[in-house]
Amino acid sequence: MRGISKYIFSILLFLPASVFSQNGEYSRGLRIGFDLSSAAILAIEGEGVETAVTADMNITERFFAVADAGYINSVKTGPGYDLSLNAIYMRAGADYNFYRQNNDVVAAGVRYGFSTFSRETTSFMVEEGYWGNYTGTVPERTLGSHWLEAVFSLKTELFSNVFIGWSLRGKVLLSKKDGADMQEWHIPGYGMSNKSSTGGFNFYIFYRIPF
Amino acid sequence: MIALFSSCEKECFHKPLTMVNADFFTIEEEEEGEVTVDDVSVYGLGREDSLLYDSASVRRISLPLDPNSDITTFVVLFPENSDTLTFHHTTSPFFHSYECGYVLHYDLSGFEYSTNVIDSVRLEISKITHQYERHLKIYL
Repeated sequence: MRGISKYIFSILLFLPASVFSQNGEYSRGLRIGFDLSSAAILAIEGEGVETAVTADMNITERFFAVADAGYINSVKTGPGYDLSLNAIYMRAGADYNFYRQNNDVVAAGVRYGFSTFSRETTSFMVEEGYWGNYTGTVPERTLGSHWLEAVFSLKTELFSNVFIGWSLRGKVLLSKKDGADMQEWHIPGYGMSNKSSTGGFNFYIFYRIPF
Repeated sequence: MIALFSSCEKECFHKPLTMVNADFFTIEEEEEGEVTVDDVSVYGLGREDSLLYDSASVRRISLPLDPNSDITTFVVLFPENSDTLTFHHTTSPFFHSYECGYVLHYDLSGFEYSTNVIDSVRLEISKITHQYERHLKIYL
C-alpha cells in the first residue's frame, strides 16, 4: 500500500520517489501555502494582480481544517470594451487525509466558497452599422456569489516543513447576485457565472509551522 | 500544463443582432396567416441614402433601432403606397460575453404607424434582446 501510494505521488507530481521521506511519523502544524497557479496564469496574461493563499491545520490525526483566500485586481480588454475588476474570495472547509505514513497528505474534502467583487466598465463601444456606433461606460457595481466545492488534493514534504502539492476541484454554484446587465462574467474563485458547475486546479507551495 | 489552465482566447461566434423583427400577416375569413410581400423597400427616416431592404420579397423585416436616440422612424415602401413606423425606445448595454463584449438591448415603450397599406400593428414582445424572436406583427 505504501509502495503504491509513493508510486501515485511520483506519477502525479512528476517527481522521483526518493524525495518522499519514510520516517513514518505524523506531527501537527499550521501549513501556509501560496497558490502558484494563479501567479503563473497572471504572468502569462499579464493583466493586474492575482494572489491566493491557503492554510490548513490538523484538527485530529485525519481531519484538517482548511481555509483559502484570494485577491484579484485586474483589467480586462476585449472587443470594444475595457473592464476593471476588484475582488476577494474565500473558501473554508475540511479535508480527510487517507495517507498516514508521514507528513504527506492525500485528501478528499469539501469547501464552502464565496466572493465579493466590484467591476466597472471604463469604456465600451457597440458597432451599429446603420445609425452609428454606441459608446458608453458602466459605473462600478458590487456583486457577490457563493458556491460549494469537492476537492481532491495531494501534498508532499520536499524538505523539512516545505511542501508542494495540488488540488483538483469540482464546484457547484449556489447563488449569484445581480448579473442583470451581464450574460456571463468571471466569478473570482469560481469561474464563469453562466455555468452551474465548474472545475479548478491549483498548484501550491507550502511552509508548515510545526507545533 | 499552465497553458492548459490559462483562459483560452475564444472568438465571438454568437453575438446577437438586436433588431425589431416584424412579420407580415393578413387576415382572411377570420384566419390570420403569415404572408410574403413582394417588392418591399425599407429605410430609416434620415437615412434615405441607405436602404435596409431594396425591392425585396420578405416575410419578415428586421429594423435596427438608433441606439443614440429614443425614437426611430422607418419608411416602408410597398408597390402601391408607403407607410411609416415609429418606435419609442430606451437603449441599455448588456455584457454578452468576454469574447463578444457588449450588445445593446432595447425596450419599446410605444409605437405609431400610418395606415396606407398597413391595416394594423400588434406588439408581441417589447424587450428587444434576442435575434430571432418575433417582436411585431404587421397586418396588411
